[in-house]
Amino acid sequence: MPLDFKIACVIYHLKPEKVLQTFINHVSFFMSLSTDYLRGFREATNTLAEFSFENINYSASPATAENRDFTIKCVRNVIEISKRNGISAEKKRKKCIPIVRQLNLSLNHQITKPKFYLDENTVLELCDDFRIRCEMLQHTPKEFLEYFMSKISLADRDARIALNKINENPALAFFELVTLGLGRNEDTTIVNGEAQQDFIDEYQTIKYELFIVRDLEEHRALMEQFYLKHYQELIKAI
Amino acid sequence: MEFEYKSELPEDFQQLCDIFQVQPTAVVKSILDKISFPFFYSHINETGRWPTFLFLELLDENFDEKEMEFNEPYLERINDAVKANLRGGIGTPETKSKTEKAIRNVMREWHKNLAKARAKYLLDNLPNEDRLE
Repeated sequence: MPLDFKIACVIYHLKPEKVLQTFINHVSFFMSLSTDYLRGFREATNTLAEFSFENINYSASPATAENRDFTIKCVRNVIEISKRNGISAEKKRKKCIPIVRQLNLSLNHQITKPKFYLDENTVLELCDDFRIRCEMLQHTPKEFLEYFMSKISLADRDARIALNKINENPALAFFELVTLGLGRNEDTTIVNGEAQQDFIDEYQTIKYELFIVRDLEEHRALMEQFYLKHYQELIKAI
Repeated sequence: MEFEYKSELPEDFQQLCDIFQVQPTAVVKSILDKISFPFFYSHINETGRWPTFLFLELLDENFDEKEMEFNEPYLERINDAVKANLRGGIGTPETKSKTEKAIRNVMREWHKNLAKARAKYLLDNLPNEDRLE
């Protein structure tokens, strides 16, 4: 697990495995074939698409080899639903659920199992949508999750905001939705109050201290130092 | 440069001034005196930096993209001066004052050149008939 991702989770009091599970749950086969926007689903689905654009597999997916006609039928049905007017994106997504289930059942799974072991003690459940995307794009869950995590760096985010060099980053956009409460319904109890207060105090001032640092690399490196320092204090206090 | 400022005192501020018997003008003056990039960026671990934080916060909220490209090199030079003199530490009284002086020089040049650039921009954008040949 990349350090920057762990840092981001600690700063926002999130459990990494819960973030990853929420991410998996928001990958949507329907969204991959539609242009609608659905909070969370669009960002998660686009993260996978972005990775597969950068790492295209040209060969046909072996998972669909035996049931090609059925796969095509499912894709057609989903596209047909996605084009309907007068119903909400959420309703369309729900209408696609039975199709997605059937499609996943028909696949000859090559790279996914229903469960994904993050480590010995942590299991992630892979939903139908996520498995279909993995099988069709021919990337393992591990590849996708690693890509998602690799795109999340608070230091990079802050440096880009400060220097007005924001780039498109669906993984980060998804993470920010989680920090705002997506996929969470319990209240977070803050156990490391003092370290947390120190972090917030310094966070408020560092961006002004770094106003004169206009180089992206340099700005990012200084923010990395800042986050690392507070990460170490915060985990000590947990 | 002088300026006159007339404003209704906000209620909370007025109340505090009354309670502690502080002149509103004294408050304004104490803030204005401390707003300074040369001081702020050379006296990293000292008190008296809050007014400049306040100013930077205001800049952050009213960010003007247009001139930022012009301003960037000067901000970089301030950063260079800080790095060269303080080397990542908080500095000694001598290095602090050296840094402050270096930043002050950059500020002066920055201000002068920006004034020129603005005048040129105005002149270049005059309608034809008004242009002095």
